[in-house]
Parts: sequence; structure tokens; C-alpha cells
Amino acid sequence: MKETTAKELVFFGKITAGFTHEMKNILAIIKESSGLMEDLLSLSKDAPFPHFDRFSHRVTVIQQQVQRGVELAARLNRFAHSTDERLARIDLNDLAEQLTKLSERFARLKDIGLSVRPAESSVVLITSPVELQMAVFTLLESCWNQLPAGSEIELSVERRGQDPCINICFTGEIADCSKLMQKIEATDAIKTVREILDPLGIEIMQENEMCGYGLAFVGAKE
Amino acid sequence: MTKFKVLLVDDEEEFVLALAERLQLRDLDVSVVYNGEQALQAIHDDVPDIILLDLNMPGMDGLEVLKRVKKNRPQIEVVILTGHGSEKDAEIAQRLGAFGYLQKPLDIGEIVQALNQAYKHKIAEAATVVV
Repeated sequence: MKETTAKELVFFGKITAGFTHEMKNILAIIKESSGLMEDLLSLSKDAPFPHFDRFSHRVTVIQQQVQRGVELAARLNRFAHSTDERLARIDLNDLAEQLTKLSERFARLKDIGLSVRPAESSVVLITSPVELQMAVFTLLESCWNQLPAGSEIELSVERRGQDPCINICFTGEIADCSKLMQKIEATDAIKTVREILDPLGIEIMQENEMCGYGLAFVGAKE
Repeated sequence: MTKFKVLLVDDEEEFVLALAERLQLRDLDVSVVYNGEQALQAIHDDVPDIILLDLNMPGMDGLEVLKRVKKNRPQIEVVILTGHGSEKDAEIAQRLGAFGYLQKPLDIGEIVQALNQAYKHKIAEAATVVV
């Protein structure tokens, strides 16, 4: 990655992280305010006012959405902080989970399900968090753009011998896996993925035993 | 629940006022200030049992407030409640004498539990000194 690009990313990350902190503050205010409303409602249970039940239900909805917002803000904050260092120690289990959450909405719009299967123990290595996330997201995107609606993509993490690996496996109504893989391979996105992964020492290969890809971190430092 | 005095210190007024009302409904004696300078003044005027303290505030930040409270009124237990914190901040706060370190937003039950534990610790420490 060029030095200027790295600096630009740090700048974007810093501003984004700052704003997620502000968002968390706002969510905390909404959470406490709706919590106070809930407390006051519970005091009024014996003498309910008109529309008590509707009011009570809406307070519950606010709290559920606040929780959802908190999780989203935490994810975005974590994503923003991935630009802090050019190279960092990464647990691939955490990264796979983070990427699944970050990609969920995009995949859902294509009616593709995403799931993650972590390795039984931590798989830690030193690499570029930004470039790795960008490569895996771009790979996922190139896959869900070609998969039939209703398909599933599973990200799994494992070790193959000494090498940490991320697998991306497709399931669903896939008539011909090799034709699907040819379509994916023909996209510009896949070229971009290889361009990013190659300098990082990450090999991307089509998997024969499953329909999908494997990313092997050959000779990874831990 | 034992009625003990809690001082809330946070620059987010709407957050801290809503939290204060909720704690008052749970029978706590609660007062509120919005910055570090006000907090240091408040602990002279009416000594609380526990301070629930935000870290990131304009002017004097929470860690500086913690340091000064522990220097001038060591018997006050301090629980950090912050939306910004990191592991590093948690370690520093603990080293400076904070009893607990909580991340916003938090359920009211968890806040009350933390305050209760801080108060029990305060009572236990006071009993040790007397002995």
C-alpha cells in the first residue's frame, strides 16, 4: 500500500471512530430515556392511562432498536480502528466474524445468507487488517453477485498444516459449481482480490472438495 | 437496598439526568454535575459515598478527577462509566484507584449492581481501618 493511501485511511478511520463514539453517546441517552419511560410505566400499571399498552410496546421497540444501534456502532468503531496500524496482529476468528457482520446487509439485498464457523482455537497472524478485509469483502461480493438467490455462503477458519486459512464455501441450489466459479473468475473483482492478496503472501485457490475458495496465509508470521 | 449517596459526573446532560431519575426511583440519593471542576467542588460540599464518573469530558478529564478524588477524599469509591474507553484507560483507572470500569450503554441493573458492590467495598474498607 502506498504511504499516502495509508495516511488517507488513517484519517478516514480516525474521523469515523470519533463519530461512532458520538453515536454511542446518543444511543446511551436514548437508552436511559426509554428506560426511564419504562420505569414510569411500571409505576402506572395499576392505574393505566389510555393507550398504555401501545405506549409500552413502543418503549420496548425503542430499546430493541437501541441495542441494534449499539451493536452496529461497535462494529463500525472496530472497523474504523482497523486503519490505526498498517500491520497488526489479527485473530482470523474475529476477522471472519467481523466481516460476516459488515457484509450481512449487502448479502441480504441479494438474498444470500452469510454465516461464520470459527476455528476451535485462536488463529493469530500479523498482516494488513485493511487490505485483508477489503480483499475478503471484494471476494464475497463477487461471489454473491453470481450466486442464485437463496444460496448460503459460509466463512470458516482453520489451519492446514502450519498455514492459517479462511474458506469461503457456497451451498444452495447451485446447478453447476464449475460454471459458477468460471463466472466469478471472469469478473474484474477477482483480479483486484488477487492483486491485494499477492503482496500479503496470501494464496487464493478454488476448492475442489467444496464449491468455493480457500485463502491460505502461507508462511504467516504470528 | 441501603440508601447511599451517589454523585454522577458526566458532560452529557440528558444522559446523566435520565440516569439520575432512574437511580432515584431505585431509592438512591443522587446528585449530578457536568464536569470535573464541579465534581471536585461537590465532594467538598456534600461528600458522596460513590462517584459514577465519565472519562471524556471537556476541561478536566475523568482520570484527573479520579486522581484528585483519591488524593483528597480516598474514602469515596469511584466507578468509571464511559462510552469511549479502552483497555489502556481501564488499566490506568484501576491503577489510580477506581473500583470499577463500565462501558456505556449499560443496563440499569448492571449499574445498580456495580454501585452496590462499590458501597459494600467502601463499608468493608472503613471497618478494616477502624479495627
